[in-house]
Amino acid sequence: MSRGEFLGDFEQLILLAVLRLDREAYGLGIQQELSARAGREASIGAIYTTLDRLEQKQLVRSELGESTAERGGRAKRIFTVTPAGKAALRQSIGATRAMADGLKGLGLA
Amino acid sequence: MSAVERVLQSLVTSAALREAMLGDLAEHAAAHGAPALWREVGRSLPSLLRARLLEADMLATISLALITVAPLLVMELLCAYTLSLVPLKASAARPVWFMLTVPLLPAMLATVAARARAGAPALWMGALFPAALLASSALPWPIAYRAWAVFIITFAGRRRPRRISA
Repeated sequence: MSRGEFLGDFEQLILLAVLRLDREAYGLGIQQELSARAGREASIGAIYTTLDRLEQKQLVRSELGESTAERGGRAKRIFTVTPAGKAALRQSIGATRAMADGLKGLGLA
Repeated sequence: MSAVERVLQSLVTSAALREAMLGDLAEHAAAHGAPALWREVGRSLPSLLRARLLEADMLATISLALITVAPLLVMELLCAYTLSLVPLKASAARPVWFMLTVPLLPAMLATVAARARAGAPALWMGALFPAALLASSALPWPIAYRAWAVFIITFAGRRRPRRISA
């Protein structure tokens, strides 16, 4: 990710969810995590298209996980955040913090 | 092949992502039932359509659309000018406009063929095509032309080769 290119709000949430879920970061798990923690009701399609974009930017990578009967025998695709993804996340969150830092009236402090 | 699989096959070009999504949807349906599955598919459509549109080579797609539609628009303007010289009632001009929409048929067939060559199933495109043709005959002519143009811009175009990990 080049300098000055920041993550979108949804990309940031997805990366954070992937980090939180660790080895359980697959589409449906990420959807539930987003709903439970961020109150964001995202569709499976939105999550996978974002993960695909992040993978093309090499901010996440994926590998096949377990397949179960309830998944129709299809394997899970487990996502992990790459070092470049962590760096992009740090940069993006850092920029948001820097902008919010010292602002009164937001109720953050 | 289930209806959900057919929908995803048309919209998700990466087989790996499609399989993962189908697995997740099956798991979702097992937990919440079939209506929840369709609700989830419906909610996913805008994102998948947008991604599919962006995935196509936009420059080639827009060029194709312009090459297809521009001559027809010129012909449309010439006909409008010619008809304006003849004192006809508005209702008499309508069949002329319907005739003008017919040349768009090969353009649409070419679009569907281009999609089919790229490897995606053109079944639902085949259903959309006559529907769009019928709609164009019912609508006023300028709207029909623009609808065709939007259709071509949205669905035509070559695919970028995909890089899939794992």
